[in-house]
Amino acid sequence: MTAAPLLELRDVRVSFGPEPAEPVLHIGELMLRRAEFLGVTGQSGAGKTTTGLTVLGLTRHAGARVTGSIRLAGEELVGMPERRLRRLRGSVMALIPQNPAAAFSPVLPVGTTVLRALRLHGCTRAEARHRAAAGMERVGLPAEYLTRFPHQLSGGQLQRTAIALASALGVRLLVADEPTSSLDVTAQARICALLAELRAAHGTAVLFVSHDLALLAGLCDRIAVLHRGRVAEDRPAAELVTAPRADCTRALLAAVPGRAGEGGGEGYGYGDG
Amino acid sequence: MGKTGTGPERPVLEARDLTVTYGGAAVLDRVSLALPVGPYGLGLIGESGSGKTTLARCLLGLVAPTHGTVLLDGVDIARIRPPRAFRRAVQIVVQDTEGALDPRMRVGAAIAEVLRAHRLVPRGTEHARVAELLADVGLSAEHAARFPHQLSGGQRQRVAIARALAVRPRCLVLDEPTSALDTTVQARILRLLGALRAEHRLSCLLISHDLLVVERFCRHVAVLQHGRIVEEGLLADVLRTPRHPATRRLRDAVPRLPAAPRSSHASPDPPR
Amino acid sequence: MTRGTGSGRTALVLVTAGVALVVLVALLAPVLAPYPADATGGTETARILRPPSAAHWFGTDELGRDVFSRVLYGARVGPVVAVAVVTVSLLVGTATGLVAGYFGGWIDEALMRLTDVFLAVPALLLALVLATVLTPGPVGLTVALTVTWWPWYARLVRGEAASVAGRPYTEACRALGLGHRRTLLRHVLPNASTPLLVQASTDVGGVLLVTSALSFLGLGPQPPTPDWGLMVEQSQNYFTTQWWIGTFPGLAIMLVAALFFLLGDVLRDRLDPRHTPGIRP
Repeated sequence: MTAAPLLELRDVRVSFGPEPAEPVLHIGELMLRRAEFLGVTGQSGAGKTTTGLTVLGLTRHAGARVTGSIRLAGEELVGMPERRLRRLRGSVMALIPQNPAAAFSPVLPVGTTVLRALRLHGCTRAEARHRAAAGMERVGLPAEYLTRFPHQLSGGQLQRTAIALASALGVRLLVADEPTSSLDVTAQARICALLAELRAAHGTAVLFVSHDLALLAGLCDRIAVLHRGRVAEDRPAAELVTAPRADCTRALLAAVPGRAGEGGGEGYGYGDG
Repeated sequence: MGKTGTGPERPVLEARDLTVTYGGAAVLDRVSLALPVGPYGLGLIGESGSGKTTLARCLLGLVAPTHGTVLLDGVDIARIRPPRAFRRAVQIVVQDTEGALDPRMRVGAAIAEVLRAHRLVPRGTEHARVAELLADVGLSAEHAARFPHQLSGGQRQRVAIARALAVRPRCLVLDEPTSALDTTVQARILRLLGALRAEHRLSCLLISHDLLVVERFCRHVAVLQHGRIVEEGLLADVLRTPRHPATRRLRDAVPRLPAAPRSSHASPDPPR
Repeated sequence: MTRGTGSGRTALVLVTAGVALVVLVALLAPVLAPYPADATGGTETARILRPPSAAHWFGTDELGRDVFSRVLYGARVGPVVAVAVVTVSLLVGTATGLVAGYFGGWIDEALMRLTDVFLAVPALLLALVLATVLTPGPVGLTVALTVTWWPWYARLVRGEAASVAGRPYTEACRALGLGHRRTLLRHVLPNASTPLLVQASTDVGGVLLVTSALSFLGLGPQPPTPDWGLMVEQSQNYFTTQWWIGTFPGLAIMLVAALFFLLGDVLRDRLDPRHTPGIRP
């Protein structure tokens, strides 16, 4: 049991545009411990994706100004030089993006991308190859798939390859930005099971950004609900979905179809039956 | 098979023995499916790559099947004359809200164009009807002047629905109409579709990978896997006792919230 | 970052003004020119090969003609041929490419093979042949260049049209029963036309260079037509001593060509509807 959290955001403000701009995101406090799954949700435009990208230091590229403090394993990320940040991305933290194809170069076999990333973070060639194969095995894909091009794999398989890479790199924090919203439900279930395995094996923590509260409820320890760029509620998942406090949480819950034990299907009928 | 409901349901749109092959591989393999007239809707579920979208395109006459026929009121759609009559009867709403609308055309013009092509309203009165159609889907007349990129995903989907309804179809094929949208927007669009279905007496085929979406919209369901219908029946029965592993997988993969203490949010689509 | 504001708009205004100026000069040449295009100095040797002065801004040539007036009149030859070549090529090429790209299949195959045949015709050779068969002049030049120019547009449009035809909104047109003609003209053409218009306006500059080169070779307008290319050709003997005879028409070619290249660039930035500021809901 370590007392210090793996990731700690304090008074983080993100703003775009000319100087005295209202921050699009203002997080007072948000924490993530080792091996913890934190769900981040909210309506479109609430700042979910911005939160994930800010943690990775990627909003800078979009011209955002970030103030406050983001500490990852005790290191301050705000104001960290880009070179140092780049080294952290891939060794300590990694992104699983919404569009799985975006993570891989379309003109290279996926294995080449994986091997390059591993070698960049200090593996020898043989070691990289071994780790990549082991990672693929862990996500239940044949190692031959490393020789395939992104377009030859399905969205689910690509997403699993991305997770294989993250596990081969041994990252401690995964930022998953709507990783399953372009997948069908069965592929989604497989991805979620894999993330849980990754946590059990390596103690990986996951910041899981999604609009799907039902998915987060089943997967995460805690859920933070964002509303207009602020944290409206940040509580244990089970508590939050059964006894929501904030109005925006209630609105999100109301939108989730078919709560267990309350059979749906009342939506049809011309009103004449 | 388990067809219950009000009296004899004759199919309005029917696929008979559809086979579609691309380069030797069968995408659809002898698929037969009947969409009954009436309010209860038919859901079609399946994983990605099961052939759902190809089936939808066949039903719309956008892909010619290698084998088999699609029938509207018992008539082969390839023989309906003029072909436009078929377009008036069956419409589609697809998943890709951004791609389905011409990026260079204001959405009002896109709807007016359909009215004009089918001569549905007297010349010069299109914009009034466009405003009416937009109001039907919960948009205001001002939205008519916007380009698709100036609208949100949900608003674009509303425009696509309004455009489909412009021809006053009897049948609507909904191909993953909410999969690209956030849960809250998804709920609103489904509620809208439910209301429009009742108001315009539409027979709807809802295609989705998400049982929860189908569950709140349809009474019957068919399950497609590897281009074949592997199970069909009353949705409640299929959910309770799925007979095919694919169905079970689709059912169990759905994330569900634990039961809420209050149930007031349970039925977002109150019947009209 | 190109937004529809600031420098982008200024560039558009400047380039449009430049093009308008060329058009005005071409239209009003008889009014603007201080001397008729072919008014020679007659036998007065004092009026031939004069350097630029207040009376003759660009000097006079070997026949005592006012170079300034001839450069103004020149706007009615080279640029007009260039615009004609591009316009006719655009019409033929766009129609061919649209049909080929949209319908695909054997129609596409047949039209594209036909296009290849025309692409294989060497422009220079055809211009030579036409110059011998017809009398050499702007018409023959226009025909020769058009025959070899339109296939490029056909190819460009075909690629764009095929890609637009594969997008969901084109399929939506079919599902809505809109009919081929409406779909082609109202949806496929506008969406396929941005690269086309950009290419075409850039090409006006390119064709102007080619026509000037061909008339320099004697395959275009014949003397005494005040064509810029021809003027440069005829100034060759005097270039070292009377630089003005060739320099001003040469500059005119360069400036007008550059103007159309710029127009292409500016259009590229402006024609995308996504550049209209987004009204976020």
